[in-house]
Parts: sequence; C-alpha cells; structure tokens
Amino acid sequence: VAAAGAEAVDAAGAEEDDMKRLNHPQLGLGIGWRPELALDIERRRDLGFVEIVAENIDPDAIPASLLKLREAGVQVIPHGISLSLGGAEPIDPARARRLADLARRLDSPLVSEHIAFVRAGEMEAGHLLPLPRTNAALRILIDNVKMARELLDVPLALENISALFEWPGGEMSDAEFVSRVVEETDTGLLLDVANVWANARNLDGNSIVFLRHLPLERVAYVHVAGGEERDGTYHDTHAAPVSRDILDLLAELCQMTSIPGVMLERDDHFPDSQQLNSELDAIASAFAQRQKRSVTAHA
Amino acid sequence: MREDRDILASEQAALVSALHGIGQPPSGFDTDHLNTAADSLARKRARSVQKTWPATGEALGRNFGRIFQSYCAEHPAPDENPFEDGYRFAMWLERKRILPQEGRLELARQRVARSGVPRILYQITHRKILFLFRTREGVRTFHVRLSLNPARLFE
Repeated sequence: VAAAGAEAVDAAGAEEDDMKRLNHPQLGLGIGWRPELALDIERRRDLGFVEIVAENIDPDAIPASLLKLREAGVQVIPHGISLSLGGAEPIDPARARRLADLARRLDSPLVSEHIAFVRAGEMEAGHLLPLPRTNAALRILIDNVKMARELLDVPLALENISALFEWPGGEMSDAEFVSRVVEETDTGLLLDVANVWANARNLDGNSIVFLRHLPLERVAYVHVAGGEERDGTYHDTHAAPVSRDILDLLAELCQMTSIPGVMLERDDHFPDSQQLNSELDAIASAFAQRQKRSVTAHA
Repeated sequence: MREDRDILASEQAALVSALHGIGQPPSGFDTDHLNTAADSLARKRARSVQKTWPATGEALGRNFGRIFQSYCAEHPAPDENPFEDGYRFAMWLERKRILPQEGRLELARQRVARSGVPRILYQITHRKILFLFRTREGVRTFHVRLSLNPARLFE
C-alpha cells in the first residue's frame, strides 16, 4: 500500500510539473544547425527542432536549407551569443531586435541566450564568461533580461554556461544564481548538461546536486555536447563526440523530470553522417526512456 | 543600480583585460584558473580565424600558431566577429609582407566584396592575372594565364 501511495504521489508530481510546463512547447530531438551539417540534418527524419546561432544567420538571407526544414514542420530556435545579458552595460537593443526578427521570420516558439557576459565596454572577451555570484550582479542581470524580454515577442530561455574560473566573493551557489534569474524574470531554462558536467569536473562541484537545486519545471530544452580533456581541465569545445559521462547525466536528468526537448551541439571537427547519426540516436534513446516511463506513470 | 553597474563595469573590464594579457589579474581570482581560461580564449580565437580564413590559415601551415600569436600581441582583443578578426589579421600579414599567395586571393575577394567598386583587376603572380567581379550572388573570379612573363615585355 505504501509503495502504491508513493507511486501516486510521483504521478501527481509529474502532472503538476506538466501543468507548470504548459508554456513550453514539445520540441523532441534537435541539433544545432550548421552549414557543414545541413545535408545530414535534412536527411534525418525524426528531428523536432534545430537551433541556429542568431549572429550567424542574416534575417534577410535565411539559408534555403533552413526554410526547407521549417516547411517540413521542424521548429527553429534562434540562439544568441552576443547579448551579454550579464554585462555591466544595459543590453544593445539592436541585438535583441535581431533575435526577435529571426523568431518572427522563422515562426520560432522561443529564443535563447546565456547567463554570461561577453564584453566589457568596447573590449570583446571572445567567449562567454561567468558572472560574479553576488546579489548586485544578479540584479543587473535581471534588469538586462527584463529589457531583452520587452523587445522579444516570444519567450526567452536562459542557458547555464561552462566556466573555467569563478569570481571571488560569491554570495550564493551556482544553482541558486541560475534559479533566481529564471524565476525572478519568469524565463525558461536552457539546461546545458555538458556545461553542468564540465563545471562539476573543473570547479569541484557535483552535477546531481546542481540539477536537484534547479527549478527543472522551467527547462525549455536541453543542450548536449562533447569536449576534450587538456592538461587536467575539461574544455567544452563542441568539437568531439559526446562522452558516456555526459550521456549518463542526460539520462539521469530525464529520470528526474520530463524535458520538452534535447539537442546536440557540434561546432568543429564535424563527424561523418554515420557518426553524427549514431550520436543523435544515443541522445534520442536517453530521452525516449523517460518518455516511456512517463507514459507508464500516467497509465 | 547605477553605482552597482559602474563597479561591475570596472571589475569586468579588469578581468577581460587580464584574460587578454593586458595588466595584472584582479585580486582574489585563482590565477591558475585564469591562465587556463586565457589559454582557452586564445585557442578559440586562433581556431575561429583559421576556420573563417581557411586559405590563409592553410597556407601558413605549421607557422600559423606562432604568427597569429604575434598578431594577437599587437591586437590583444578579438573582434566580435571572427571573420572580421581574420580580415584584420590578413591585412596585418600584408603589411608585414608575409601574406601567402593563397591568402592574397582570399583578401582580394574580401576587398572586392566590401568596396564600392564593382570589379577589380588583381595581378597575383607574374604570369597570372586575376579578375574579381562583385555580383549580387557574391564575388566571382576568373584568371588569365599569360604565356609570356609580362616583365619580359619590357626587356
């Protein structure tokens, strides 16, 4: 009887999760669209969505391959990398408008950006950098996110980044910082499990503890990627196959919550069709296990 | 908020500068971690330029890393767009007179693409004359190979 009761609670919990998640569209399996992968992406029939790097796609010259996908019912999510939401300066409205413009033209269900800063004044960093985990930095980030949302007609999801260092004087954990920004701005969470794994590995954290402290009902979709170990540090390069450890973490996440979508990010040293497909299959299988489980729970 | 933004601005500026090798790292950071991050940024920058300027990158071959490093010493911060960074790199190589032949063509194409001039004539070697045309679809090129070295015409 006790076991049956626990199951009922579980099912109720899952239903409650689904209620809160109603705003997140089901996306399914996806991949970061890159010109080098365009042909393989077109041939793959089970993709529910692709993500595009907003800075690399001109809203006035959207590649034909992307339009073809869109016509076939594949969702396209513009993903920004240069908004610098965690920067000390207010955001540049033109960058947010470009995201909005792409979303409009591609009829996107949402857009995404990062919990990071990429420039200081005129000086570009060249990559996403972590923020000080202080209340002051959090307030500025929240303010910038709200500014961006006002310029967007679709929901925004924010991504946790991988960092190779931390700021001194942190006033809260990484998970708390991420949770507070998405909750206080009412945005979705783009959860990058490779970044969760990398941070735990490089900065002495624990992936599972991090995941448990996030508002998982806010997950809009999930990123998975490969990287490489160099001189004792793991680098999230998106240039290598996804490791077993990261696939396991994805499976673990899928046991914890029902995620609307998951996608592979690959940016360099592109694999051949067979390798790419087997990576996508592995991701799909971790994802499908949970789908099966949640169907059983509801039955 | 204004004051908080000012404080954060100076902290972020000091950090980004330090990561590009300008000035001392701000206090309180783990310097080993910052060095790793600086190295990672430098690699990413080099790789991005190599990818967006493939002919120049390939022509420099094994020397690319070393030469790109000396370019970075003069231009510590990358451009937001890796392609623009590469454009600046190619012009830097040209000024130093070490832009390889293949790179000259890559740079010429860009110059044509950007210039208000619809077409230019570009002599790439003594025996080959290259024509670059800017069309609506992009830059098109064709070359004319001379059977006679033009320098010899004046002998």
